[in-house]
Amino acid sequence: MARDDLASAAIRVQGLKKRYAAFRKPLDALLGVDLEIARGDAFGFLGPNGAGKTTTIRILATILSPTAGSAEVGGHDIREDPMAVRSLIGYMPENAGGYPLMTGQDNLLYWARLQDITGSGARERAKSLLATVGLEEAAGQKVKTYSHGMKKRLLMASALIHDPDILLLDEPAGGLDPQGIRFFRDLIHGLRQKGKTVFLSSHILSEVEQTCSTIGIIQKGRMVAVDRVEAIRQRVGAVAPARVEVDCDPPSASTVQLLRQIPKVRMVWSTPAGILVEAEPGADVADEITRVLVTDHVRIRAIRPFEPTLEDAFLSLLGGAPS
Amino acid sequence: MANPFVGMGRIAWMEVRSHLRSPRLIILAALFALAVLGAAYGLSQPQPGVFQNRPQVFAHPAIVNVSGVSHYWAIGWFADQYGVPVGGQELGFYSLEYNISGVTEHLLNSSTTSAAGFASFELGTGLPQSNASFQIRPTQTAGPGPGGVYFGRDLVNQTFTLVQGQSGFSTPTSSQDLFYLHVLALDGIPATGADVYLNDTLLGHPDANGYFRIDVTPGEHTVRLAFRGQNQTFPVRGFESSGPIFSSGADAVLVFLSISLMPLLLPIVAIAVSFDAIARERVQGSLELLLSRRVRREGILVGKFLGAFLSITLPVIVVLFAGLGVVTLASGRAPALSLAVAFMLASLFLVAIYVLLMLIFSTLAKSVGTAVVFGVVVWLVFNVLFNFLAFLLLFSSGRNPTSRSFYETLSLLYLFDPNTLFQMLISLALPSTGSTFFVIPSSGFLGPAPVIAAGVIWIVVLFLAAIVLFARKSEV
Repeated sequence: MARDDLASAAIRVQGLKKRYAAFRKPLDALLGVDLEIARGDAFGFLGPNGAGKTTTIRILATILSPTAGSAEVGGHDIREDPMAVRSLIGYMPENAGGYPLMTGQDNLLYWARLQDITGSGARERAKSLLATVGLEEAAGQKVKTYSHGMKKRLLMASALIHDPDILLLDEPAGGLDPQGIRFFRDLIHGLRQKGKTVFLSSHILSEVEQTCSTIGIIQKGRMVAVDRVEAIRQRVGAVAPARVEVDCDPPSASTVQLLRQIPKVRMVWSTPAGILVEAEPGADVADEITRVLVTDHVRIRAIRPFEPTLEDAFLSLLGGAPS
Repeated sequence: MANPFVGMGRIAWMEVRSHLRSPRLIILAALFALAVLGAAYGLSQPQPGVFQNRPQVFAHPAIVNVSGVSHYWAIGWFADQYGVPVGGQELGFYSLEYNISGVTEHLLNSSTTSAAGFASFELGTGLPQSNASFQIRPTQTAGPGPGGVYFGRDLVNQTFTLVQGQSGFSTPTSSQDLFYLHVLALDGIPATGADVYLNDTLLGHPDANGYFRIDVTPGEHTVRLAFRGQNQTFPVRGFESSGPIFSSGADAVLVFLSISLMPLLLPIVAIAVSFDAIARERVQGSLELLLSRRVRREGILVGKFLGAFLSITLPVIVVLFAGLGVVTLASGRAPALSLAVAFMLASLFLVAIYVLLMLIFSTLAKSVGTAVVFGVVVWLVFNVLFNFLAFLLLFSSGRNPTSRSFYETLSLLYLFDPNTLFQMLISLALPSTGSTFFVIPSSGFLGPAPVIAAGVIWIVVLFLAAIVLFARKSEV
């Protein structure tokens, strides 16, 4: 690997393993994770529940120590120089809260002091961030009065209080309404434009799809795929069934029979808007479908080949069927 | 070398701020103040009971021969246990009638004590029946207990009558075990010519009122009284000093607070403030945030300790100073400086121990509920179970509970109990004489060095344990 590549990696993980000790049955959460995320990149970290996403992100945030392997954040080894790593990262945990009996502003000022930001600098930074996350008016309220969405926004502000270069976000939009999800999406876009590296763990695939340029999929403690979003889609497209959605009048049983006889077509389903045809991976059957429908005088309003989505890719790579 | 306590000061400051604003600490401090100031005032008042030297009736039978006829008398001497007579006190002479419903008293006569404390009552010329019971006591209902007067058949063959007793007394600066005798010749005249021996050594003779007092040293003794050819011996036991004892005064109040109130209350305050120091952070999710900040785990733990310790000691010191003020005002005398300083320092020691214990258990607790249970268990172990288990261990080892080795071993075991260690630390500042009543575990059997060393070891070991445990278990 070129020296420049090494220097440009914001996060590098090699052979990362984590075993949680337990009296009867230790749990292997990570079985050798390898990752490399370039500076300024937005990395979407996907995986089913219990796959090891949060464990990985906590190790990168220096909260957990790995059992084996190595991890560097901003060029600093998480074990040898955790304080340097903590200076560089802004960590937003999934299920954390601030101090409920303190106001939002006091929470931010406390986190600022722990990052060595004090005095008027801390107050200005807190005020500006509260405005950024839309909590300006609630700044003086105790956190225990905040809604789930407000707490999430405060956590984001806490992660940003020291203007870190690398953001580790664990389910930032989890449990939020569409407005909240959009807010976080816009915020992350803004951070990317400022050159920040974003490590985003999420269950909301559309959020990752719209926010991240690179994704990694983890399952049972092992990385299943790490690539650019487009490349992942293409890989999935090569192996996933080809599907064509047709908006049309309901075809007769004989027309459906003819459609099923088209080479490489596997299934034909009725949908409220017309039909959905599934064919073998890579097959281009749209023209033949059009011909059969026109021949049988079925009125066609629209015909759309399905592009594989990130969800398809996710499910396909994890061994599930596309929806 | 990198500072391992990065972030300690900021976390401590944050803890102090939030604790001092929390209703929990405010309520606890108010209750603590109420208990300490109330006890300080109440205990500074004159206290009735066996711990005080109050006058009592020394009651004797007497036989006076007038012209060959025996007249029977009851003699009451009203004096305190140091033999100081009280004149001008009306004493009543009562006969007691025992029946199925209890005892009925009949006032036969009353008389006022002379300046020498004596009052006498004539019964007549016939020897009262041997089963007749009489007593002499002040005629007021409230007052010291009665003295019984007995007219046995063998009385006529005696040369003297005797009342004897043993008491432990204390003063604000010392304490003593004493054995006293009040001896009258059979005709009711003080037996000033009697000889009193301690272990066959002549000590002296009763005073003009027939009173003789012996300050008893620890150990087994024999007291012998010889008068007009008759002897009577008494086995007397002087007790080992169990520490300095006071019956009244400012020092006594501090000692009593150290024995009874502080080991009970200080742990409660410390536990209630710090039981969820780590568990609460874990449950509300802020521990995860804290661990990802520019602070070291050691800094978090020590900051948490300092925060809780300062938050507790601030109101505790204010209350204890106020308590000393109340004691001084109510008893008219300030406690000894050494005792007051030891009291303060030992209190801080006890708070530190319980805060560290709670940090350890709070680190282990996965929920606030578990942390509460740990807090209750810790309090119960050192306030209830430890003593029980220590004695059980000693008894099961077959040691004689009256032997010195029993108490030496018990003292060693007490080094493992912070509550008793707290009392031992205070006892270092006290005189080494003792008596049989108040029992404060002293350093007497061990000496100051092991007690102080145990205190230091407790703090160091708990600190290290808390830091190591937090570093290992703080992974959320």
